Amino acid sequence: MFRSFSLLNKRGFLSKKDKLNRSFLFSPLLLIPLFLVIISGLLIKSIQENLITSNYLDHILTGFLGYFLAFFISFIPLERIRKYLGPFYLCTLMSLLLVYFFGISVSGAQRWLNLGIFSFQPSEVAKLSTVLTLALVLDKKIISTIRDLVLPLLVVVIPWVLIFFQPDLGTSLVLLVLTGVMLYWSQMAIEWILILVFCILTSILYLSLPTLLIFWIPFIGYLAYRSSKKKIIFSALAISFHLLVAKLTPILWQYGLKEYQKDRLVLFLDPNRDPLGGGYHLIQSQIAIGSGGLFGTGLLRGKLTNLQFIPEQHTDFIFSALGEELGFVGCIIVLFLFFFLIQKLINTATIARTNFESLIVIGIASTFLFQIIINLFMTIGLGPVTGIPLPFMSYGRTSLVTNFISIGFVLSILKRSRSLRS
Amino acid sequence: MKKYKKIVRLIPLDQRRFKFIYIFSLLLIFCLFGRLVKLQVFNASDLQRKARLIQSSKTNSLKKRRSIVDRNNRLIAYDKPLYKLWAHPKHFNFPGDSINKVRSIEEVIEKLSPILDINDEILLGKFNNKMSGIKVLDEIPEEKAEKIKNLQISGLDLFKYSQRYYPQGELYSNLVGFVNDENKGSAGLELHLENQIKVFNKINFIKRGGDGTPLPDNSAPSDFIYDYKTLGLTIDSKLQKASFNALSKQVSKWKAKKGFAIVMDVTNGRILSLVTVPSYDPNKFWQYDSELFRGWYSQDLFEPGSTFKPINLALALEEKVIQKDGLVEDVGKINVGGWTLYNWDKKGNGYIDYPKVLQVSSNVAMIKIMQNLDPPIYWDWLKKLGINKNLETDLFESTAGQLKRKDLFVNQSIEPAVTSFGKGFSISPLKLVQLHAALANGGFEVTPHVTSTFEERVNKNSKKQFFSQEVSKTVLEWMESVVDEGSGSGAKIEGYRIAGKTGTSQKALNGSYTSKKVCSFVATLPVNDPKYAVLVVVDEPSKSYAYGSTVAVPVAREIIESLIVIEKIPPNIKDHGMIVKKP
Repeated sequence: MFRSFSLLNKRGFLSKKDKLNRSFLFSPLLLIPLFLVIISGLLIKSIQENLITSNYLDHILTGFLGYFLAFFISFIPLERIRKYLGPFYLCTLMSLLLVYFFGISVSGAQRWLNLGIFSFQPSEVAKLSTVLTLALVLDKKIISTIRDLVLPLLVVVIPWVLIFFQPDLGTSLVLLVLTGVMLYWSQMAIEWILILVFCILTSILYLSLPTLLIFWIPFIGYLAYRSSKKKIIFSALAISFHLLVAKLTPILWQYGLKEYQKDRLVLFLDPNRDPLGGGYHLIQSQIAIGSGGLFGTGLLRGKLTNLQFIPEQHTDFIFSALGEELGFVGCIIVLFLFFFLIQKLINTATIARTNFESLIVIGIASTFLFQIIINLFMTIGLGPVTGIPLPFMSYGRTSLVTNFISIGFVLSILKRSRSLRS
Repeated sequence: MKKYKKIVRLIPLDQRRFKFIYIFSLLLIFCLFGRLVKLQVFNASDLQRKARLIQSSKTNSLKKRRSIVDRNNRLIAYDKPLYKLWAHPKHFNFPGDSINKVRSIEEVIEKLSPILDINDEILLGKFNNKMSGIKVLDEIPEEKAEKIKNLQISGLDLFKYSQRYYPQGELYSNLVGFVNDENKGSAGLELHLENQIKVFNKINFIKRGGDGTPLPDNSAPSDFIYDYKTLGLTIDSKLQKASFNALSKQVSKWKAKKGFAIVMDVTNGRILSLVTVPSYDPNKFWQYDSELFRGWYSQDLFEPGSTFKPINLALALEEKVIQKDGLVEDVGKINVGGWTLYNWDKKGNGYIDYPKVLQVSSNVAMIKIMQNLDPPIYWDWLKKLGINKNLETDLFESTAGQLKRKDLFVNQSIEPAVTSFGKGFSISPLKLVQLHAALANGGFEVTPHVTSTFEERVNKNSKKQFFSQEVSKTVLEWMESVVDEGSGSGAKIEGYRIAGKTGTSQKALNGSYTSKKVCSFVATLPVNDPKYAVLVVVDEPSKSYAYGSTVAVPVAREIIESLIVIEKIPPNIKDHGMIVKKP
């Protein structure tokens, strides 16, 4: 669709006279997020209607700021900022470390850094930073040996550990998933990815049905045996890796996770077990969404939303406000917009000019997709409460700005993509 | 810029990989879609109902029933606030302790036992080593609960509730009744006037916000204002107490089965005191026989006997079958339709005037007088008086009296004959008072009642007039002679003009009369300006020489003495002694 107005010269860069072309301002990649921001801004207004201070203007203004920021970033060729990515990554790690010492603690988790005029959530930036750095690392060579895996995994594991112990289970899960998808995208052998991804299954099995591990662990070994030339060594490594995971699981479960986090992870299966405690969110959120019916109560008129029946509704549970006020129709429209956005991102990933760019786009797309899926599953009662925000809709300025910056990178990549070359 | 000239070779993307990711995301989105359909289309109405449900909560008023007060606002029944004490030892913490410190049960008991006045060991036993949800004590009065609250020990919960309490004990139980364990009226006014006593909230449901704040929608300001109305009685507690003491003294002295005394304002039917003996403590109703809970004064019927004679005389005067100053011959016995009827002492009194008829309570004279009245007219009169009708009252639902059928009454001459001295038909004691009130107030029907709300309703209706002013005045003066020089002389009080009539009737059982008696006395005062009617009925006194004059009159006298003091009735010396004509 962009073929009609080619902005690029033969080398794949914007010619000088095209630089002020504002068509990108109306790209769906920017308009969809902006629309979501405005809708959710109104929902936040509704949620906080009876409070003294309301965040909705904050949310919308930050959204517009992000919108223009993304637009300007789209003029920067990503290849040119390659050399700044390393320092950016290190800065992110520094800020994650600083959280442990100077962080503001909100309901038991230290996630924010106070920068005077505003507070800042490093873990949100860490997602983008990890995507960029991982793309940088994976771009260097195709992973074919175990040694090749060390650097990419190191890039992920350091922020992962820092985030996991904040504790921020949701974001740490996002990191794992985006890593898996990016490795997959970088043409790593499918068995290897499965070996990595199956870590989670090993953990779950160890906690729920430890006897099945007798069959599971050899299966992992078989996968490893199939995939590599150094069959014996590699399968031995894979098996011992999974055994280590199984061994570490109870320790992580015991000390890594707080009591409330454990409750949340399993409570969605039967929220009525603790209707006033951990299950409260899940039950109330479903009631709110369901009570919206087909067309909802109308914006700003949700009875449960207006009266703060759902704690933290303006952040993680914003979708329940949408469900109540705009009903099934509103939900489907928003769902479609998200789907369209993700599809656009994946398309961009396939037409990106370089592997590096393609990996960045797919990393960003997988981050969004995973967050959307997990957040929506949580609000409609299909998944555990993990505290993952809904991109562009949940209130949270750091995450909103970071998401727009990601969109800016994608736009920049799109501009220089193969399909736009005439 | 040269650096970027080279276009990096892109690994050809595996189509299968791309499709896999795509299908996987589609699958997840399909899950989302399905769930949304389920929640918002199929479950929508159910969840909407749930949403409204969690938003509204029932207002649970602590006060369930109105207080009942006498005419001087003295409390007769009220909801007493009480507390249950619950303990959760795992949260025991004294004010000033650090948050994590947990105090031992012993430390808490040490502070509680002096307030509750309970031994340490007994309290410790209740804890039974449980760590939460222990009900330590019930029925803690407010002042003790306040002291426990002031200790500010966390882990102790006081749960407030209310219990109906009757501070006057047995004094009012036969009138007011009591409520059962479920706070439902079970006897007396508590049962009969349940709708007036219960506190009804206009809106039972109010909407609340997520944090529990009541919301202003759909509610009027009045919903938050408490209903402090009470149910006011016309009873005077002092008079009630005096009546109760006098009656119970006499009932136990004569070993009687039961007794009833009432004081009524004859001008409007207001009941100033109403007592029955034996009584019970409504606070411990479960310890008594349920037979006691009945309001027999309006529900049970009795043959009024001689106390009905003044009514009959009034009927005779109304129909002009006797003259005011006429005489009647009493030979001591009379044969009616094959039955021989006697005076109580089987002696004749010769030619006597009507006051004398009442004074000696002559049955024979009464029969002769009433024989002058056509039986159909007599029966119509009795019907007009409402003998066989339900009495309109706010007391226990009254039972209608029993009157023979008109054809029986007309055709069998024995029927009008026994009716002339108050036999052969039966009425409730309350009905008898009402008829005497009509005699006293110039002939008007009154509605006996105890609540002020009922009074407002009743007084709107205009009342029937039974007797003319003149007739009622005449009969009252005749009755006065009974107290002055007849069987009621025991009720004579210097300086006051009191009219009265005694009654002693044998109780009928299965059609024949037994040795069991009902002794009664009805009095009206003051005769110059009738205001009060007093009726005393003592059922089955089991000693000899039990007559109206010996059993009931002393009670009435005591009640009248108290009444004079409480109502501040001035004496009337001037007119005294000038009314009664000597024969």
